[in-house]
Amino acid sequence: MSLQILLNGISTGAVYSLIAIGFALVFNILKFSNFSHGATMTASAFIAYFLVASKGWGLAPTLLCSALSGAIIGLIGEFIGFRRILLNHSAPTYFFVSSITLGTLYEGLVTLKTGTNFYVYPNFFDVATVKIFDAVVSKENIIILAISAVALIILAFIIQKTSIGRQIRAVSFDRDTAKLMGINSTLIIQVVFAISGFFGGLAGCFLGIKFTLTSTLGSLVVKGFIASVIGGLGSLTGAVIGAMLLGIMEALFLSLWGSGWATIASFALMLVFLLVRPQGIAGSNVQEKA
Amino acid sequence: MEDKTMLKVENLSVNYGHIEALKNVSVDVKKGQICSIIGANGAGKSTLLKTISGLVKPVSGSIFFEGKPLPKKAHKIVAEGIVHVPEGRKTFSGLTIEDNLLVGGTLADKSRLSANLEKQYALFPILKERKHQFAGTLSGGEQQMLAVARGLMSEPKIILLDEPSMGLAPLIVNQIYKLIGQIRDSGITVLLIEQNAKKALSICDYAYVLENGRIKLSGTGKELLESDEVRKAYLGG
Repeated sequence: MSLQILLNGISTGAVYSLIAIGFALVFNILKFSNFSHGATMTASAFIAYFLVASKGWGLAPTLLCSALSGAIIGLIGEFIGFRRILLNHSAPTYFFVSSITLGTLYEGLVTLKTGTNFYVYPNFFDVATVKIFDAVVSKENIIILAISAVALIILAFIIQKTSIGRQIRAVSFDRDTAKLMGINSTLIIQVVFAISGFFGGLAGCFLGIKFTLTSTLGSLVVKGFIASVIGGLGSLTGAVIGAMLLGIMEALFLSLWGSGWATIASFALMLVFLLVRPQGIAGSNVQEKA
Repeated sequence: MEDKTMLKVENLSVNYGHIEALKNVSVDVKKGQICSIIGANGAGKSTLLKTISGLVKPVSGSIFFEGKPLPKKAHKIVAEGIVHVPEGRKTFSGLTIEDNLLVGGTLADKSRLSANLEKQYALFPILKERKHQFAGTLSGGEQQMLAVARGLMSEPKIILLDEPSMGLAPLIVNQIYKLIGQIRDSGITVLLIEQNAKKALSICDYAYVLENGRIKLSGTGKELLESDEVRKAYLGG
């Protein structure tokens, strides 16, 4: 595998990591797969497009706007879609249905504004490629990789080393006991939705840069979903490992067989994983939580 | 001995759907004492603790702490100085022992956090040796100690213990009970729920017998140990 393919794969994997992390955080704390995450990504990317990028501002403001929009959408979703279900101790199925409904709603709202048109972020980079040793890599891939890595490291620090991170982990393990320890679980769930949305917003913007902006951009959330299944649903480290693995595999398959087969191969990979190791790479930790 | 009521439960009723779990329960816990509530499985003991700590909402009745009505939300009740160590320990198995303790200290003054940590480690040396291990790797008795230590991290005025002896070997149970005595001696009031009536009655200052959601009897630990009714029902003749 050439360095070029590897770097492209890692860069794609980094975006998948952002998606998978957003998924895994919410899965951990409420034990359901949040299917509105994809539409959150789309909506954030478009908000950043219309409010910032189309006005000619650069990458950093666009990215920030997308991430913050994601966080706000996450908070709104938690409040209108999930809070009542949580307080009523309803079955997880309701979360699932509610998340699909929310996702469809967001996507519908985006489509109202954009139709089925394609939008393209302005070119943020004056030089398109950089040379690393003998590999020619697009500059956007390097920047995306760097920013994703920084975001993931900061998140890992927050989760592992700070009080808010410990509270998130405690609520994820056992919400009632966490309350008995004086944790405001509602607040912590809001924080998690905000972080999840923030990462979704980052991912949405990056996907918009890598590909084009369409109202169905969010369907790429499936890649994050596959990554978090490969990694072990709910495990944050697993999600990143799974995403990297998926990104690199895709880049490799792409160079070997072209894009059609690459997609099929990545889904096949998930099926094999579900057969051989349904708990995922880092599964042991998750099982006792289920 | 000081005779001041710290926690007052008045005519408390709790329903789970159509099932009445507690009916008009009134309990007084005096400051600095160990108060026990004994009863069989399903008598409503855990429900009573969960209602005090805010996990379960009552249908009627009220709970006063130091003369004031309790706040509604569980985390605000902890902030008042009431901590509940739940049945079955419920340690956060995937968090390290130290993180478990730190979570317990979420609301405590940040400047005293490390001092409190050292205090727990002094009380439970086994926890210090293993502070970087996951709580799930501890034995049942060690997890119970961790659960109590985690509760103490919030600097409570009163600690509610739900069946701390459940599923533990007699030797470990003795250790736990020695510890409960130490907690009381350090000035923290204890409300102790037990099926192990003999143990609970011999350590407590005052006790209530809960049967089918109602308070059936109350008295000092000694009185109840000698009462025929308690002996027949809970101490095996």
